[in-house]
Amino acid sequence: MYRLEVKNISKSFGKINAVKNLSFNCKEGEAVVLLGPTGAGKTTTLRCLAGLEELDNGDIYIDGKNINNFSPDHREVAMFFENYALYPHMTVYENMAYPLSAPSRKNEYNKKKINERVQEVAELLQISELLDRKPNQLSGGQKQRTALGRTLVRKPKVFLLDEPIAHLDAVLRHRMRGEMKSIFQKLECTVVYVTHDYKEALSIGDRILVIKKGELIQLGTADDIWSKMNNVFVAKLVGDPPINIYNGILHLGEDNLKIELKKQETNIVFKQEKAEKENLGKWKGKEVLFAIRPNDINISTTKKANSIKGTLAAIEAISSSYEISVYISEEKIFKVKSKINFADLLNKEIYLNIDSEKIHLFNPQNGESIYHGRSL
Amino acid sequence: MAKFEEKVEIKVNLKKVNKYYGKKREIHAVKDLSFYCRDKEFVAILGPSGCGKSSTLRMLAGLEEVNSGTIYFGDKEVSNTPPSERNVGLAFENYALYPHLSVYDNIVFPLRVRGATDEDIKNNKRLDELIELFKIDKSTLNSYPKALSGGQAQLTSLVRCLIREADVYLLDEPLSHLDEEMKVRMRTTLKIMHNKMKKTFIYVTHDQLEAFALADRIIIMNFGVLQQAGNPNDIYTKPVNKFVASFIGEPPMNFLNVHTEKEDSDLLIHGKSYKLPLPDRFKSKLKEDKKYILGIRPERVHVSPKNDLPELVLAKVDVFENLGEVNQLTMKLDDEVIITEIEPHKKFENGDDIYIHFDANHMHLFDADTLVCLDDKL
Repeated sequence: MYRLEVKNISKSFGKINAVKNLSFNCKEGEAVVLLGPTGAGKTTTLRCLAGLEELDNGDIYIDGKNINNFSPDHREVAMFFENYALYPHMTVYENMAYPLSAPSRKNEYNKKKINERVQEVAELLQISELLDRKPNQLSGGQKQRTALGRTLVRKPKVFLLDEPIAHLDAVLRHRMRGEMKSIFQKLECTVVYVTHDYKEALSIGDRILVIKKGELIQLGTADDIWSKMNNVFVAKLVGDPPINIYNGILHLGEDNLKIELKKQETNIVFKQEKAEKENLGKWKGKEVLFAIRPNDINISTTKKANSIKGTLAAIEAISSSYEISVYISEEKIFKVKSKINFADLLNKEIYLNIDSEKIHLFNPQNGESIYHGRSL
Repeated sequence: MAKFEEKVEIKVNLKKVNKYYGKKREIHAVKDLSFYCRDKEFVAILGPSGCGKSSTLRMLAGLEEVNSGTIYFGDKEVSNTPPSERNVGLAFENYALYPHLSVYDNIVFPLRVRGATDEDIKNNKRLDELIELFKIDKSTLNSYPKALSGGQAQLTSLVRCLIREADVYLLDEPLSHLDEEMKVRMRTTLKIMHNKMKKTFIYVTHDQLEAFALADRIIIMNFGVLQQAGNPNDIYTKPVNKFVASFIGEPPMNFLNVHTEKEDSDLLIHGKSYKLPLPDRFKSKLKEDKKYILGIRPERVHVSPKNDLPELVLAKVDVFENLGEVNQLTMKLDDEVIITEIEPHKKFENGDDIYIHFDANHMHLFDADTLVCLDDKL
């Protein structure tokens, strides 16, 4: 039995279909991340799970029990919003104890039990020594942990988080991402987590649900989403700098497969086994989208097999590596991620060597995946 | 990064510049600031809010009075020269577009005031190039500033700045209102434009990623004081103090509290549960029985599941994150946290024992009181 089961849920606002026939489930202790751009329906989905929006269609089950008609406070879910509203006049302890001392829980928790639970969660969040402080005496990260703590004390069956760290500065966001993952694992929380940040999604999600215009696009592990993306939308959503994409024509040889890149002198050729050839047969001679991630390209000054000619237009330093922009046609830039600077080659002609085992091919009409390189 | 001939002209030079605000000059916004920009160089002034970076840029533009010190453009002192005589191109965070002019007319305004005819403007190649590169579409060109999003207004302002021929281009957070994806794209575009225009750019930002990506040289400020000036690689590998070290890098540098102890006449670095030999280059700089902070970048922390090398330090895996291109490992060493990046195919579980090797060549040590970096290389 699943901890959370979402079956064919739909929600529209007037003419806007925010969520369309969405289904997924969550095992106990599993973290599922909803990833998508603004307006994809992520927050609406979460609000439906929390009971803050009424479903137009579909069913939601927790531990096998249909909760469609349960009010938010009877769903045994806890929702954490981006703007954490701590009570300014209460201490950290009082803020955390508050959900347990609410009148509706009078019989569940006595003072001793409340104290035990608050101390337990505070220790886990490393805020035990801050329990007497007021929110205005806390740093951004400490406030965030307190707010998390207030949600965690209740032992909800499902923990819902909507962009919980999106507004933090880069350094703090980075640290909190790891901390949250660790807390979820230690408490064995069942989590549904909404974000537009692919790194957060890959990091936190045991599985990631990519959503676009209210529809499920792909549901899979971080490895699936990164290397076996099932369409070009997912490919573009995940990765920084984004994946390079270019139009080409597919040719099939005896034991090889060739992609003729438009307006380029070179072809990408790679060995091809029979089974794969059958799958690709219908694409013979047809136009495909060729894609390769910036870290799967090497730059050199000499032409090799599978290299694309270009002009090195800009070098941008990123921590210990470089993002290099290369014009491969008048208006098309390929991005390369490299440990080497290549400053000497600025504005010069260079070659991009493509690792043919790391390429992706997509259907140019509907964006669906056709092929993933063998070592992906 | 551009390469320079041996003899390079200094285009902009600040000498002991000070700026005060307030009736009694109680706010000392810029303190004895000296730095220079070479001709055709892209210099970023980087620092947190309130560090004096925008005040500095405004003094360069002539929009703020210099209270003491001098500014030179080439050989000419411009400290008291009005803005209009400095021949600088300006783009600020708050766009300052003319509300009664269309986007197109705003963009070509600097050309028109310098007497360009419609014919001249039509033949202006840079105009077409800028509009194309910064993705300003036809409908935007015909609309008026009030109809623009923050990002569109900012790009208009940036293009208006770049359209004119100036000696120095001064840009203050010109991409701050763009969404994340657009910001990264336009950053590259700006870098490409700089390579093409071959002019001196001074760029103010609080975003270390932006400064790193764009600049040939970076000026880092904090509390009105210059912290370090250097190319991105120097700033990254040889930070002069803990502020610079912690401000730069994603994921950030790891810091560990350590102290020194003598053992058989050798000075060793001690953590709670571990000790490490002190690399030679620190030997003259460190004292016995004193507290220090050990800094090491995530990519200089190597890990192994086995204790198969000398001088390994035992830690526990706290968080394992799969980030696609790399995996990130957060470890607990005693009660401190260490982050490292590992190759995608290596996987770890929470609570696993893990052995850490600190790359001694890339270890930094900071004085625990002054936070100054102690390294003979500096």
